Formats: sequence, structure tokens, C-alpha cells
Amino acid sequence: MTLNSSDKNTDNYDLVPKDHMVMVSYRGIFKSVTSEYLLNWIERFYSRQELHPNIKLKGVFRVSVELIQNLIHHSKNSDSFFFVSRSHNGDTCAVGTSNPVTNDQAMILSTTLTTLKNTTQSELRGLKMNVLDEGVRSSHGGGGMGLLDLTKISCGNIKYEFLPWSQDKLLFCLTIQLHSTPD
Amino acid sequence: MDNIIISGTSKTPDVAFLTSARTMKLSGRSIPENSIDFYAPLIEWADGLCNTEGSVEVNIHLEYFNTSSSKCLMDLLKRIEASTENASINWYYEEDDEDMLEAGEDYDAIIDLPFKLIATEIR
Repeated sequence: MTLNSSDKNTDNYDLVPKDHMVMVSYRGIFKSVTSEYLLNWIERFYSRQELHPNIKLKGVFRVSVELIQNLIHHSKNSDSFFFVSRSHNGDTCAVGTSNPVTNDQAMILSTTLTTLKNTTQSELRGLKMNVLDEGVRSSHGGGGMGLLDLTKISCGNIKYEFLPWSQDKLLFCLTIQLHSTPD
Repeated sequence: MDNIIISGTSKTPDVAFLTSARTMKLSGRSIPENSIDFYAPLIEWADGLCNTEGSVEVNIHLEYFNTSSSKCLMDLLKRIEASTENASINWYYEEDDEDMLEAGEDYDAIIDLPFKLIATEIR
């Protein structure tokens, strides 16, 4: 990773797992039209990727939707990044994003993700039902379910890190992996 | 009450809310960035219909939905549940789609109305 706080020489492709090749990537500001373009691309090209049959388009699509919409709602930064990659043997697909966040946001994200990663699948389902039944929602309709759902879809195969970015921000890097044989 | 018929887009579902048939159908995909904008009028319409005499049938046949739509679907079903005991829900899922089956089971566990989970052939 070449990123540092002085010149932001980020190579976003360092976020892509080492044995993977990129299917689609985008760096810039995320808007509704960007989302539409990326999701259309994923759908059109998925069938050409010869992924393991257990890695279904629906799973890749759902993860992509949540991650892209997280960026639309929570990041107005032109350095936001999204990618979909696949392992060379086709048994793993990764979907990832990075975007600058404040230290306070990083604390909240870190606490939430640590908790979710240590939660079993059945507990995640219970949490999801609880949020669905009783949870509050944000102005755009979400209810804090995005990270919960991503953890559940990936069976906990969710990786994150915060890298130096600027004096008052960190780069939040999040990667969701979908495996042909989930743990 | 007028019918609500909306053609689906790449992000929003087909909607057929029919007054005389007393049926509501959502099909396709539901992944709008702001689901409240899309669902608020549908929830109001459902409330109006359910407060008139007669049974109501809800058919949900979605391919994908995002998490904000899942909250709005819950709001729709809760509003129907609160307005009438004379409603039933049919939840369609493709037979290999475990996520959509599980989602239906979760709504069924929360909503106290007759709820059918119906497997369909893979398209």
C-alpha cells in the first residue's frame, strides 16, 4: 500500500486480494447514475466470468448494491473507490470499497464491524429481524442494516482497515468476500 | 380510490395495486437509493384500502431488494396488519433462492397475518 498522509499516493488496486483479477472498478463521486452503470455492468459481465456455481449473481449483486449505496449516502468524496474482483480459479469473488472517513466515523465503524464479525449467523439473523421489527431508520430509509446484511451474506468474510489519509481523515477500506464454500 | 400501476425500472419494482380486485402486487427488483420516497404513497394507499370492507391479498414476488426496501416492506405489511385482520400475504421466491426464502420466513415470523411462502421455478 503506497498510501500516506502527505501525498495520498493511494493505489486503490492494492485493496484487491492478491490472487484476484478485477472485473469492474470505479473511482470518483458516487451518484445514482454511477450506481446504475456499475450494476448493469456487473449483471452483463457476470455470466462471462466462469465463477463457481455457488457464487451466484444475486449474492454479488446484493453486496454491490449495499456497498455502492453506502458510498452514495455517506461519502461525497471524489476519492471513493469500488471494485469487484474474482480469484483466478473462480472460487472466490470480492467486492470492496474505500472512502475517507472522520476519526469519529472510524470509531463507530470499527466497533460495529468488530461486533458483527464476532456474531454467529443465527445471531445475525436475529439481529436483522430485530432491526426490521423495531429499528429506527435514517432519512433515506436505511436502518443501519447494511453492514449487518453484508456480514450475513458473506458468512462473516468481511475485512476492513483504516489507513492514514489526511490530518483529520482515515481511509476506510472494506472488502466482502463470497466463497464457493462459505465457512 | 384509483389503482396504482407503475412499470418497473432497473431499481424499482412493478407495482399493481388494484382497488376493485383488492390486491397488491410488487414484482421485480427493489433497490432504490431512497426507498421511502417510493414506498410512502404505496403504504398510504394500502392503509386506505385496508380500511374498507373486504379481504385483501398481497403478492410479493421480488427478485432482489436492498436493506432500505426491506424496512419499507415491513412498514407496508405492518400497516396492513394494523388496519385489517382480513388480509393474506403470498411471498414468492425462486426455488434455489435461500436468501429470499429466509427473508420471507422473517417477515412471516413478525407479521401476524396468513402468510404463504411459494417457491417458483428458476427464471
